[in-house]
Amino acid sequence: MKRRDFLQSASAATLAALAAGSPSALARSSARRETPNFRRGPSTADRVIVLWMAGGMAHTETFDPKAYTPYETGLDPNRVLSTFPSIPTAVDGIRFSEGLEQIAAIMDRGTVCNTYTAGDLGFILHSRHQFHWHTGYAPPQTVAAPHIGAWIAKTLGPLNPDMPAFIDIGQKFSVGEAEELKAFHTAGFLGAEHGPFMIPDPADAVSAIRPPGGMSTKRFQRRNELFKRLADASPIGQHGSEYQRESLMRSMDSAHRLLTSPAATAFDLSLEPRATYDAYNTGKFGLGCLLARRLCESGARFIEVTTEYEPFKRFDTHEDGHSRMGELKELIDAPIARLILDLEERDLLDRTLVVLASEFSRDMVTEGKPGKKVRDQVNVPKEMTEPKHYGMHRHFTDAGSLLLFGGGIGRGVKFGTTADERPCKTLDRPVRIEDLHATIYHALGIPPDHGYVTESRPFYVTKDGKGTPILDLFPA
Amino acid sequence: MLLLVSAAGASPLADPPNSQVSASTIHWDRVHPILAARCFECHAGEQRKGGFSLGTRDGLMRGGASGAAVVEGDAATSHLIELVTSDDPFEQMPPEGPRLTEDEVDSLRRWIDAGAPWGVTGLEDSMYLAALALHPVDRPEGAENPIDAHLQAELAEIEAGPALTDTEFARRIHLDLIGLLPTPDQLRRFLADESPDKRTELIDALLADDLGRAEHWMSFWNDLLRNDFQGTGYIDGGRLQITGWLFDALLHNQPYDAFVRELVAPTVDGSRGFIQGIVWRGDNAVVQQAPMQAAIHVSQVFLGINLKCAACHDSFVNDWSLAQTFALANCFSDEPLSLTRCDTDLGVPAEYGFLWPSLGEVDGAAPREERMAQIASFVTSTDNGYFARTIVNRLWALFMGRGLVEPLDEIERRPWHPELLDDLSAAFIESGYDLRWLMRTIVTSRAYQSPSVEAASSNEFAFEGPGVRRLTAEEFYDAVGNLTGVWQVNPRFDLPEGAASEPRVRAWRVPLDPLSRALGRTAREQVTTRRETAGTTMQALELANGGTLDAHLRRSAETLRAGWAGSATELIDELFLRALQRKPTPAEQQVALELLVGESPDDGKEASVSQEGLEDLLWSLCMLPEFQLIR
Repeated sequence: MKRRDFLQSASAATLAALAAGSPSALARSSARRETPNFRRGPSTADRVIVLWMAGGMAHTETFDPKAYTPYETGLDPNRVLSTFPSIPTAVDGIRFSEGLEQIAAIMDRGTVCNTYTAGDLGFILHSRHQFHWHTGYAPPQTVAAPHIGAWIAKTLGPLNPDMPAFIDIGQKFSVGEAEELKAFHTAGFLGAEHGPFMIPDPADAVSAIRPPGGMSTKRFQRRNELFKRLADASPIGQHGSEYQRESLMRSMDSAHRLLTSPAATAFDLSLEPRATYDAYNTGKFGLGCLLARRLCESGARFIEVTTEYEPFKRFDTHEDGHSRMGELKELIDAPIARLILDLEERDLLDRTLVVLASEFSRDMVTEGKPGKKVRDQVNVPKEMTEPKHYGMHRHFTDAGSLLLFGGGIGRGVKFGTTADERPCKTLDRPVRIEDLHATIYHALGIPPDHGYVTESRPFYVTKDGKGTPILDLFPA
Repeated sequence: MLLLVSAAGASPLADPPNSQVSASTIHWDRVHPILAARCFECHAGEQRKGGFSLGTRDGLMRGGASGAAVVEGDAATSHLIELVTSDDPFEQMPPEGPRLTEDEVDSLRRWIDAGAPWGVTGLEDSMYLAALALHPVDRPEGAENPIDAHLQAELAEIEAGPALTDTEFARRIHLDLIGLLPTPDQLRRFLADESPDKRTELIDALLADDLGRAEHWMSFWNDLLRNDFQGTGYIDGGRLQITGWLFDALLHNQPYDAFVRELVAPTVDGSRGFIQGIVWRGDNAVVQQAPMQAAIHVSQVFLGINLKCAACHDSFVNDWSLAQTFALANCFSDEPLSLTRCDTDLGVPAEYGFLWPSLGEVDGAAPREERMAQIASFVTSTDNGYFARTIVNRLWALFMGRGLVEPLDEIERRPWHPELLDDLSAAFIESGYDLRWLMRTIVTSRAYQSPSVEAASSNEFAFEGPGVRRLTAEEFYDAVGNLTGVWQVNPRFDLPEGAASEPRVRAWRVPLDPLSRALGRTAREQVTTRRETAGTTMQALELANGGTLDAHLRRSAETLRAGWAGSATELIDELFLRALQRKPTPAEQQVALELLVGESPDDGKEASVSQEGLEDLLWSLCMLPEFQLIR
């Protein structure tokens, strides 16, 4: 027998929803089967900002500096662990790589963890690891796995009903591996309503809430008013209420409300004082951080800002790693520090969990995990003959940097240890994606085995419901 | 399954029981209150003392820190019984409160001996399991159409009310069969026709439109077979399109059994993509690999069976086991598979076999192609009632809004009319698996030609007419084409020679875009058997504010204006006819005029149509629920 034990704990309403094909919350337990609706547990955060370092950010070049070896012609790559000297941070005993001075100065507000160990997915591929990071499930999946932002949007909804719950800033889909990127920028089986509101270019975020194609606001409003009059004049519409008709009209209304709501002004970066705008404006990512702050203030629930993935661009440093890393630090250092300080100043940091992450790290010599044979994708010469060889070019999955701020996370903490000699791998407290997700959910008051039923089977916020929150990240 | 198998000692590949099981319900009714009252406080939901949760059967079987809690079918060696009967105060469960009574312990014992079934309380239908074979059905006399024959009582009630008008019928049948709106000319001719058989004649004319039918049904099959122009896997050859093969099969109304055989065991390259699945570079768990994808998709798409759970462990939501699923997957595999439970290799070689061994055995020693051909013959066997039922149910659901069985991918459940489903399935087999026959039989029924009703929301389903449905993304785009005369651009599929006279680029031929995605078209990374149809804010944002529709309507308005010689009011009449199959009321005419030419003009005949005004009128028409819904 053993049929359908998940249905047993579901109410008639849930069954009706199942029959209609929509995912429904799993009852937390049979004991509480009368209340299948999700009940939020104790929480330390109300919203999440993910700062995504797309393309594989080397921990040894950013938040976990190792011995520095300057470039010289003929240098043996095995001798190089970091290509920058280290600098002190606001916290004794925590050092960063040179070029991250501003984030270093606010390290007393958060936790650095360099023991993120990426999934063991064989051939090291950016989009596949990014899918894994963002959904907690390795592709391909027979069920469309939702992005973590969609899980959160579905479970908690927006903080302000006029604001999309899940906003994704900075990623275009006109790049290589676009289909693979699209595959996880989705609410999957949770339904499009919970999917990302995409803002590919934060400088132009305002266009997302402006009438299309240069239409004046006046015309836009008039069009909507006349449309409503037309709908009301319909002889069909006069035959009383009808569910589907109502639902279409209601969705038009809520879209229109979003577009005209005061909250929508959050998308307009031109309303920001010039000095602040300039302080953030290190490029698209910097403006993305500014936009994230504004959206946070206006009630978004989950925001991701990416440096944008594009094969061989930005953190995907297959050559010239050192010089490009210098530029990337300029891109991220000021806006991230500023974002944390601004959130703090606005009393938002306490209840906002900010997570900086990347799909995996990099190393000059090791591809994948030490001791595991994976196909080498980067040609590193035996000795360096030109500066473009200098930098972390291989994909390393046995350690990686995370920064966590706010949302109940410990302040001025270093979590976990990595080796100081190659391979600079995780020595203790490894953080897997399931556990990182479980930690984020924990902060939000969502248990790791919260799930929804799709196709009569349960699907959980962490893989098989088995993620474990890392409670040590939260001070007692 | 677990109950019967462990009790009867049958092989893991035995046929599932084809009958209702009630013994387990009785066990559960006794056991559940005990668990709820004495165990759940510490061992359910977020409470997992000792790492043990019995809030779900999964948790129960997983056990806790002290090992397995239950040995299926053997209470005597089950740790749980040991604990509830223990005298040791440090060990006994529950740790507080009175000991379980002897009766309670006895119930637990008998429950575990019966395989610890996780039963349903008060939902007797959940134990229904459809038989493999179709039941012979005596069709009631009194109606020519087999559907109407079974629904005479329902029809008597429906037909006491108002009838579906010819205009409503024309709109619905055009959309349902070829996915387009009837043009004003087509509608005029149909309404003027005085033949008593004119509805059937229209149906036959539409069904004879091979190109229109094929273009419309491509979307349904692309969803089901997860075929698309783009998507993951194509980047490095890990995926193949079947578009050309599929289009040809639909164009020629290939018999459904032959069609499925070509998909399950391809003999030509064109249909290979479905069974090959999507292959990502890197290490993939067995459950993600092509043979398991094949097993899962063949079962889901063609047999209405969900093996997704059983690909990792014996299913908790139906009766399929890991061994059965692996036996099927093995048939599609070059290398023999080893049973793998939740990513752990059990070191047990998988067998070879189909879900119902009674249909025949698979020769594990035969080459892969031969094994696949054997599977294809079992899937499409006339003895396999699941095969016919599943497609009959899918088409029924498309035309009627709700399946005879719900959910569509759990065909083993109780239909709301078992005789109708099996009778129609048998007749479909008799037709030679002719999909056009099946469509015709459904849409010529009085049941289909009844006025629509709102989608049923309760479990207590009684047929009252087809459900109101929403235009799909492709239908919406094509209806906009019907309205404006401007169609899609840059198709990704060239129609075959002979069809080249078709100048309209219909929406199925262009890739997914933000608007079609918002309207429910999927990326087809997974099999889609039913789309989202609800109106959502995201979707409304895309409609009101997105660039896709805006650009299209701009282009449309330019073309329309350039080709329009009549007055503004005549244009409004024409657009209403194209969009809604009726003329505007005076009140609508006035609002439309205001949209079209600006502030309340005195005489629309003189007013000139502005580009912006026309864009806004087109947009408003497209947003009307009357436009987007099919009744």
